[in-house]
Amino acid sequence: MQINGVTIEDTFAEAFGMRATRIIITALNLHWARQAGETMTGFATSVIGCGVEAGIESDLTADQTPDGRPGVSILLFGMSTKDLAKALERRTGQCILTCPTTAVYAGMDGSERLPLGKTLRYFGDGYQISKLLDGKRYWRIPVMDGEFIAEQDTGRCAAVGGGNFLVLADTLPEALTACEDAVIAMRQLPNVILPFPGGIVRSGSKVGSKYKALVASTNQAYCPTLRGLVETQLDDKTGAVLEIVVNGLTPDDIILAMRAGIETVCSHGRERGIRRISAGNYGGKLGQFHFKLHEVMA
Amino acid sequence: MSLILRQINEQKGRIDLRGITPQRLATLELPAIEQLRITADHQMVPLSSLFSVEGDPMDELIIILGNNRVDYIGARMASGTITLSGDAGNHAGSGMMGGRLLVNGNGGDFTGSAMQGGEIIVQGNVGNATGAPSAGGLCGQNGGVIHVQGHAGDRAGECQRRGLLIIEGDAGDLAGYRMIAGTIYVGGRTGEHTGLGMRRGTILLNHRPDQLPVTLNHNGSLSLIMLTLVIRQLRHYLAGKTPEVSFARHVDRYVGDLACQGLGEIIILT
Repeated sequence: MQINGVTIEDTFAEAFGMRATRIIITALNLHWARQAGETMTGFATSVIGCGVEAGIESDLTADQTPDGRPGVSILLFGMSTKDLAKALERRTGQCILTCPTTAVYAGMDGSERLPLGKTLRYFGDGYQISKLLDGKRYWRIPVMDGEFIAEQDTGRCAAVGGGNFLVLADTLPEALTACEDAVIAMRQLPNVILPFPGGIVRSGSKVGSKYKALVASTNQAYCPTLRGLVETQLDDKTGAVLEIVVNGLTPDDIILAMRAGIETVCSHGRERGIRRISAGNYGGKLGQFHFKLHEVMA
Repeated sequence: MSLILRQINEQKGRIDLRGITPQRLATLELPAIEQLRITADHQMVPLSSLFSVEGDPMDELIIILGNNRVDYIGARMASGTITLSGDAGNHAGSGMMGGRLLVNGNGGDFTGSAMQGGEIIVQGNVGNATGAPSAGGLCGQNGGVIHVQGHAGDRAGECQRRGLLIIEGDAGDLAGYRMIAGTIYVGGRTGEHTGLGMRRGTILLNHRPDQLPVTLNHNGSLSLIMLTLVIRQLRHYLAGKTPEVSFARHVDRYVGDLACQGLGEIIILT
């Protein structure tokens, strides 16, 4: 398949079943809401080393939040409910509770719940107050700038993590520019996050390593500096490869995001240095979800 | 079509209508409904001796009253709607668990007493002890919403534990007396001893009272995020009459009652 002179390889992205939750952070203004959101989702690029994958889903206007203040929507993904609950509690306690003017609310309904204010309330040392409004329980924890409001719990759901595609270009600046534009397009969509820095990964990995202690290591087949030394997936003209990883609440969310991203990259075309679009997989044996690039772009 | 009960015999004694709820009547035929036994002036009598019964038994029950001596209307109802035309007696909606009771008139004493869920809307005034515990009880309103569009008497919200009590007009003495938790809003003026003995909970006052119990301490002028959440719920009932409060606005807050180591709050919106 070719789009605007760019080859779409007949391969697939291999993704995994995960657990996800959404929370809403509000603050006095968007600056402080984003500050809390960015801190909370920092060091959350991959479950391999961070325990969870997290990102800001979108900014929210005052009329989209429970308390009428600007805010951000955050998605967190974990491999198990236990991991997710632990990370949510720690990150909320250390990054949102501590951030001036913030409050945190559930961003997801449903009967399966993860504790939010339910555990954080003990920071109030007995001075915390609960408030039950419209069937939702909120905790009011006294802090030095007034009160920290945290909803009792938030919903969780099954989700998909690890949707991806690789951008192979003549040069690194050309690959990076195309990926930056793709990230902007993909972040317009709901229910997805791009957990890596700026939404882009330069260190695509394979499973395992020659070193026993490592569960993942560099994907040498896509490293330009190893061309000629190892079995490579790169032709002589490919100067750089970047990857975009996307997590979503449903497979359809992943497909929409991948399509938006690949379309944007392809809009740069062969004349701006984009050669091929590929995808990362592990032979199809590890992940439950296979996103075939030709079907995604059909 | 709804089921309509129309009072046809305005005797002097009080009538106790507990047990006449939409969920119960919906399962019965008209003749069976007419033979239901109710208490009137301390005697057990068939419903049809005091009320005409017409329409279809459904989830909606319309009761048309001739006087204000019919008690326990909608008591312990769990679902459906009762629309009351006329003034309710005492204990309307007492122990109510769900559904909706609409009083197109005034309510008596103990309206919504110890209610647990659902919605009571009184278009007129109510008597004393709105949402208070039943005689001998320790817990008042434990859920749901009581919306009084007129004035309320003394002891409104006594021992309230959960839920929302809205009084658009004035409240008498001892509003929120021994309140355990929950939320009370008074749009008009309040009498004496508001919040006396409160343990937790929130009393929102739209007018500054002449005095508050000495065991409630002034907490300062604060901006409270929680207030915007409460106001959002109030707006559902008060619509255009909802006080305008944004998160940036400072309000006066009193806390206590210190006499019982309480963490309750009285917030004065003006």
